Amino acid sequence: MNGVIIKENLLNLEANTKESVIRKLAKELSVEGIVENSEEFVKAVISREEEITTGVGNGIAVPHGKSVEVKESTVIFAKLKHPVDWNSIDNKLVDMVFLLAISGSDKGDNHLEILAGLAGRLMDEEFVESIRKTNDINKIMEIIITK
Amino acid sequence: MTTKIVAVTACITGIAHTFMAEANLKKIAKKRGIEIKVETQGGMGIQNKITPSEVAEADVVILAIDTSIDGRDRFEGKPTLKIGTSPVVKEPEKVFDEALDLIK
Repeated sequence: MNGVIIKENLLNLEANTKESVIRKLAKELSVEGIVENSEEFVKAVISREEEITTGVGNGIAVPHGKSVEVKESTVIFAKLKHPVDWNSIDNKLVDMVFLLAISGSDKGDNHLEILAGLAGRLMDEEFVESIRKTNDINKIMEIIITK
Repeated sequence: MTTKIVAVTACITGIAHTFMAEANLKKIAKKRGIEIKVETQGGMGIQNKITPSEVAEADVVILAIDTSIDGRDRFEGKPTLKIGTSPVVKEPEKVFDEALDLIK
């Protein structure tokens, strides 16, 4: 495990609202053993979302939550079947979501670097487009983990 | 003379906005031919730490922070723009304009 989860069933995710997207991805994290109690984790993510939207523009959202429920820091990626309103800063709908689950422990873990690197590159339009263009899991993984 | 900026980014969760703000600061600086050094204080601790001599050479300081940071006193006496990480993620050009306005 390298801290990045990309699954076939998440590349065409059906959801109507951002809360629904967050809940479904949190549930997947629970299935994968990354999150113990997904309800607590969802609360952390939604609370962060309410402070300031994570719809950072370009059709992307970066919801995130730090919680003791998170076993190891992980990003789970989804493409939405139908773009969803995320209250984005550019007012556009979101079609790609990167949910960051950050471990509550103070000790850093190796995955934080991947998450941090990803966060930075999401500001780069070319990076975003390269992921938008492909539905090949291996390609997407490569794009995400390569610096 | 090239304009020089030093900046620190620090968001509460320590990952997303910290590094998105860093990326945007670097992006706009590059676009405008401004020299910038960005220190991040996030989930992995302090990275790319700004030295006293770098502060001395800087024309203005940008603190894109949502929380308290280590070593804030390094920047005392320098024209400083203190804002949250969100404006830097949302409107980095405007943030730069505001920072450059502080340079007398």
